[in-house]
Amino acid sequence: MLKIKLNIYVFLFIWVSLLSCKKDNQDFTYAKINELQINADSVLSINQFDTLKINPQILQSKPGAGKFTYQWKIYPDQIVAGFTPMIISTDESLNAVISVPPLLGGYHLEYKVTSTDNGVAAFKMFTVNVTSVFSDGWVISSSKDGNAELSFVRSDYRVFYTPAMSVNQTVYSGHAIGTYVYPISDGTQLGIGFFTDKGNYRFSANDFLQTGTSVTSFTPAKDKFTFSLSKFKTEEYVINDGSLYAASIFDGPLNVTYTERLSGDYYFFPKVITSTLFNTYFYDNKNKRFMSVAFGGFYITPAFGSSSTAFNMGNTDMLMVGAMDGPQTSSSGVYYFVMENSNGERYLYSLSGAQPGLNQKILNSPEIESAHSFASSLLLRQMYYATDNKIYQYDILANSSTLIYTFPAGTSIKQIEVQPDNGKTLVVAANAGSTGQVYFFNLDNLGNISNNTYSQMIDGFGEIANIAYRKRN
Amino acid sequence: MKYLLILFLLVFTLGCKKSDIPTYHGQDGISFYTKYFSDPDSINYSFALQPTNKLRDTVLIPMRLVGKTSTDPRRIKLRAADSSTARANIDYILNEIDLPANQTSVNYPLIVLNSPEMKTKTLKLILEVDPGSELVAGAPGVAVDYSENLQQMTVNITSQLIKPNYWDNIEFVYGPFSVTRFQFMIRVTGLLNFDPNVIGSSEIFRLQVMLRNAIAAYELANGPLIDEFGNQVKF
Repeated sequence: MLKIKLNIYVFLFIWVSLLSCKKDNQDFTYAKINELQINADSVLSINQFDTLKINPQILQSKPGAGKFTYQWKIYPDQIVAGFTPMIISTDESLNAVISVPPLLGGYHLEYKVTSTDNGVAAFKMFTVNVTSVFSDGWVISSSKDGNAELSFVRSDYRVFYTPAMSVNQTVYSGHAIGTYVYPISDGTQLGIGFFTDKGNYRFSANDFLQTGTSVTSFTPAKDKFTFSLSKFKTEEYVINDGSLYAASIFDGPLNVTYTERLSGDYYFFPKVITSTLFNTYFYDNKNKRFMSVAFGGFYITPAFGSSSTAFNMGNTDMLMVGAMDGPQTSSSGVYYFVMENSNGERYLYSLSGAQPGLNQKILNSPEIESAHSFASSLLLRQMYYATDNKIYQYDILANSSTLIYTFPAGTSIKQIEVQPDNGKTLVVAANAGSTGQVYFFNLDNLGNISNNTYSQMIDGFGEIANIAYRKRN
Repeated sequence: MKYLLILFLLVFTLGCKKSDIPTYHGQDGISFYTKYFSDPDSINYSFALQPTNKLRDTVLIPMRLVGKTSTDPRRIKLRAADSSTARANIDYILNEIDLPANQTSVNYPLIVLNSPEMKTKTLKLILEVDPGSELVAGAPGVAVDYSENLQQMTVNITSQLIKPNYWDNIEFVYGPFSVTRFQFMIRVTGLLNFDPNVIGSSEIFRLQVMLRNAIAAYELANGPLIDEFGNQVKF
């Protein structure tokens, strides 16, 4: 009996043990899923507020086998504060107004097709470059009938007269002093500053919508004014009638109030020299020296000079009469300066970063002593200078100049610029009495004016105060 | 053999018994706390820094739950530690409040009273959770976000100008705190609060230029401005 019981126990134990060793036959049922292939162009470009239509071709491995849901989600390529991904459609085909602003780097548009049967999703990524109607071109500040105006000439020469007035339904009274294009939102977008003798305004460069104001304790002075951001993009500087004013824009204020005059014994030439990332330079025509303001503090200090460099930044013994932007990078830049000694002789200086480069007396150059507007070639060792109605090309290596264009008498050249993006267009703003024109000259490979005349002339502006290039986002 | 087998099967069976995971249960508490890089472990309050003359004001002191939330409100009672120099119902009032249902934090409204002694003194109120509070004193310690629970919170109350809590954030622009410096800043700018979180981080630089120009004008007329520590005030 005892043995039987023992056998039963042993049997039960072995049976339980064997059961735990039972092999799972892993008998799953497999079914091939319906695989999707989405065909459509991947890189798209569209103007802001235009309708984007995409009819993707969806190929199924098992045609007609399933039902799907759809989602179109758009988000920036770079992180932009305050922007969260947006679902712009849940339809199979996209037919949506793209209202997101133009941004550097553009957007990703994610198309997601999800099977309602098994939840498996297929994705297609698009790159969408949103451009503005005012994508790239020249902003023109001018005055007409007692009002300050802001106009825009797009790179395809389409003209928008006073878009800021139209968009904002506002008349900006007073006389235009200047307009400037500057980076905002970490450089992903651009803003336009507009200074007049009756008020100062800030606009989005995408649509000319007024975004704020600039408050100054002074009245901007005609032809003695300039504005620029530091290279690090955290400070704004304004020079007005020789005095420097600043504003920190660390927290991206919509309205910017400038400081009082930064103290010091100086009278600055109206040029902000952002040749280095953390030091912004200025030129003091009173004491004939460069000065600088460092990042993070609004102190003006004399630039460290050395007599062993091309020129002594701490003591040039020259007046600055002109300044030009050379090639620029995000952290440094080259600048050219036209200097004048006590005998009225003019010199060409250059500064690369914080390093003096060129110091050359300008020879064989007609009317250089009365030239008032200058532009450096961005491609060649050349400079352009303008008198009242003549434009000369100065060859730095040959140290001589040639006349390349003469406007009719009565035309007064206000500003000349080489288009920063390509270096192949010379842009001239000129006034004839109270009306302004902008001329575009194509430059050939030698820096000469193609066909000896302008390629485009656009008029209809009031008296032009200045022009500024608005690059593409 | 039989007993061995029975014992074996018994252990075998017991081994399959699901056991509960033991957890610690304690009384829920409430604690003062500071955020990393943000709040100080003491609060300075001055009636002199208020935009209008006040006889009493409310200072909000952040507290948070140490324990589980409840669907019912729970009472919080604070008391002044013995080392406090501020006097109950003369310099301050401590009211009992509730931690609202399902909440994990609350701002305790400390009422401060503008007593005559504050014109010449800074009175110290060291707050702690009263042992009779329904939510007891929470355990001190540092959380994963580097915020720290404190058993006590010190509130310095005065009607004199004292160093504001935010001064450490502006010292690199305006220099070390002194009453003389602070008074000059208030007089020149017309502001009582220079907290970058209030006026904006960009604004502190604009005001710096204003103050620098003002001190230059002051020095021209009066000579250097020397503060109570014997240091020249500069911006």
